[in-house]
Amino acid sequence: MEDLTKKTCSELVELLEKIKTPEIEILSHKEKLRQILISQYQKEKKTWLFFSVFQKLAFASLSLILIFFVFNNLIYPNYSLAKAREIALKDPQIKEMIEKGGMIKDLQIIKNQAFVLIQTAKEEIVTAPQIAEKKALGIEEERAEKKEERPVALAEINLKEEKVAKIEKIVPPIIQFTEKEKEKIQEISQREIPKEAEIKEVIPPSSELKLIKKEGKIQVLPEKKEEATIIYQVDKGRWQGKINLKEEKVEEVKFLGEIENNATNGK
Amino acid sequence: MDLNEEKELVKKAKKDPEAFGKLYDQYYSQVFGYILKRVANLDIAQDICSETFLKALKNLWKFKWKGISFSSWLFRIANNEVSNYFRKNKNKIPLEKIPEPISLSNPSTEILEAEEKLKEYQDFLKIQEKISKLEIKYQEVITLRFFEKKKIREIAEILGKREGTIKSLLHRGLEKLRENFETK
Repeated sequence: MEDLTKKTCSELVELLEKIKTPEIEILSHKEKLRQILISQYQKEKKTWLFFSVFQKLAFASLSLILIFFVFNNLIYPNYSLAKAREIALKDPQIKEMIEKGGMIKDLQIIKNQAFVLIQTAKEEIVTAPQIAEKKALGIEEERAEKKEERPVALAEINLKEEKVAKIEKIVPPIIQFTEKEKEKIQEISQREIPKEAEIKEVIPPSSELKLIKKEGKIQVLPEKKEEATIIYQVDKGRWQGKINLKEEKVEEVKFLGEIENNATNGK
Repeated sequence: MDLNEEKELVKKAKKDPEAFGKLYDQYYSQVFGYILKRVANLDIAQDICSETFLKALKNLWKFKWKGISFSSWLFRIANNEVSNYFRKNKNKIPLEKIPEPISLSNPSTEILEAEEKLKEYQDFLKIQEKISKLEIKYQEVITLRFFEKKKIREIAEILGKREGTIKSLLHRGLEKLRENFETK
């Protein structure tokens, strides 16, 4: 063989292309291996059958699971929600609420039951700051009266029978502050409002109700807002400020008016 | 055998052992030849070839015509088996030091004759020895390209790599092989 040490790549390629390679066959091995393969064929065929059936079944099962998942999580809930809304809107009592300006706030499905939360008309809802304003100006007695006018209605719908099973009126609770929150409010107020101001009242935010699925049941729970309203007085002027507990600052400061000497201080 | 005939035969081989036998007869020599060119040892080539066909039989039900021909599929199995062999024996005795089958007890005349015949290909054996010192990825492309006379497209099919990758592997492999000759 010629000296390969000084060959260039193209010379090497030429050499590799020209080289004579062994064409050897061992017939006894070929024959023996053939016999082994043929004798194993039937056994392997059974395994092929098992695996191919298994593969098809696995594929079919996976497809079914996927279809079930899509139907159960995407198609059915949307269909059921639409159906529940339709049934609810057909009910005369709910229809009346909606006609008066109410609105469907939330909708949840559990098995064959749908729960629809209806918020009554906006004008009937008195928000905390409004109460506070009136209270600050010495007309606090209206608060208790108006509180009754803020209900939401929870309608339970039987999807199978396509009818409203019952309607329940719920009054959103006022969430009281925790001690920690009270301290925080105090701290923010001292920092943000004038030093000579006297805090007259701290009002929790109005809570909005929401339907929550918990352990297979529906619960109507208030959504806690991270805010508070303070009413404070500087000389004769009453002010209202909204405290953002998250950002720890006073927002939307509003002058409520001058307080007269004989007005109630609203404690 | 053209591609359509091969396709038909594979289809039959999934049901009929005789058809499988025909497929075996068709490809045994090619597969054995490729393995022998990779390992340059008749005993090892026989073992790897047996393993290749047994694996092919086991997995025949999975074989589908998806951009790879049956012969390329067989070569792929053979190639994997050779690579496995090299990986397992990486830190063992070098190929040239593996005892000749002549030392085995009562070897058949056929094996002895084949051994003698193999020794006649001295040029091949010398180059093969140098190739076997390269990384496996270079060994396989060089053997398939120059000893098996496969096209780049076919090598890409067998190795499951892009044609561009094969070209660059070939280029780098030849460079390294040339360096091997220089550092004799």
